[in-house]
Amino acid sequence: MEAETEASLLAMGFPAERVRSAMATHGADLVACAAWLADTLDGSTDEDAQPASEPPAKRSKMHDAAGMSGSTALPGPKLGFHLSTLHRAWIEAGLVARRCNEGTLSITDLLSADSLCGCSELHIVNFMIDVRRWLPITSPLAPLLICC
Amino acid sequence: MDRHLRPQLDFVVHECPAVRTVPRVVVVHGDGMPPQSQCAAAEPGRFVFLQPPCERFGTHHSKALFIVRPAELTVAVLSGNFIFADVWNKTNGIWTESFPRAARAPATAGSAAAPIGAFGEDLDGYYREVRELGILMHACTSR
Repeated sequence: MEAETEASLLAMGFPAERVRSAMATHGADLVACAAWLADTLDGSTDEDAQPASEPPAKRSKMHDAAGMSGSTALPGPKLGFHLSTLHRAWIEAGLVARRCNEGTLSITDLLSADSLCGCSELHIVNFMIDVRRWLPITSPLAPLLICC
Repeated sequence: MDRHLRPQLDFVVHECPAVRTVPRVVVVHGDGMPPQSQCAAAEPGRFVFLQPPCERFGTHHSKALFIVRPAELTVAVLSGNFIFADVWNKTNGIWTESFPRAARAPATAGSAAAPIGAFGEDLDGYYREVRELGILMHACTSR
């Protein structure tokens, strides 16, 4: 179970060094937390309890929309308000109930081949800042504190 | 903490390879430098990066997709950024709607165009700003 939890955390994109350090120090707690969350969120369905057919790390490299979201493939994006789809590694690790991803939407749905069929132009709007440049200007001492 | 808080365009294309079939992809960013992207470097004619003027460090932290078709526009407004952690590791909200192509304003006086509502006016404003930004950028880069 610890190996599965570790693999899932790695698949979620956490740095390997930090994951291994956390597992070494708090491995049992993390596994217990995963089990507790699965119970709390009522994720212990028979479907969720099925053993994984392949390692999570390998599965995380699959990027087809239906595979990622676990939802039924749609001809286009679902309209209206939706929550975003969580990575299926959360479900496979038992941290999130499978039903939490039901009726959700992800960018793989929004930008699927079907959704972009006939599209002549796509705008991706995302105003973001680079914290590496922002932090020293707004908080000059912060980098020193982080380094220490 | 992911300190490279700029849209991860390569991640988006990796997750959604159909993006590379779109003739023109406009990336509107806000950090002074466009996001580093291998796919954009490989296909510079397909990807356009625009940075609207905004307050330092961007009080406008908007996240949206505009899928343009000849007769329809699909808009998605998201609360998450286009980075792995926001897309797959957090619960965010997404609002999506499709709109038919708006009729051009009538040239003759006395006849009114169909009302497009406040959201439609915002959309129209967005398009005008992006168009002007694109024209400005083209003028700057083609000198």
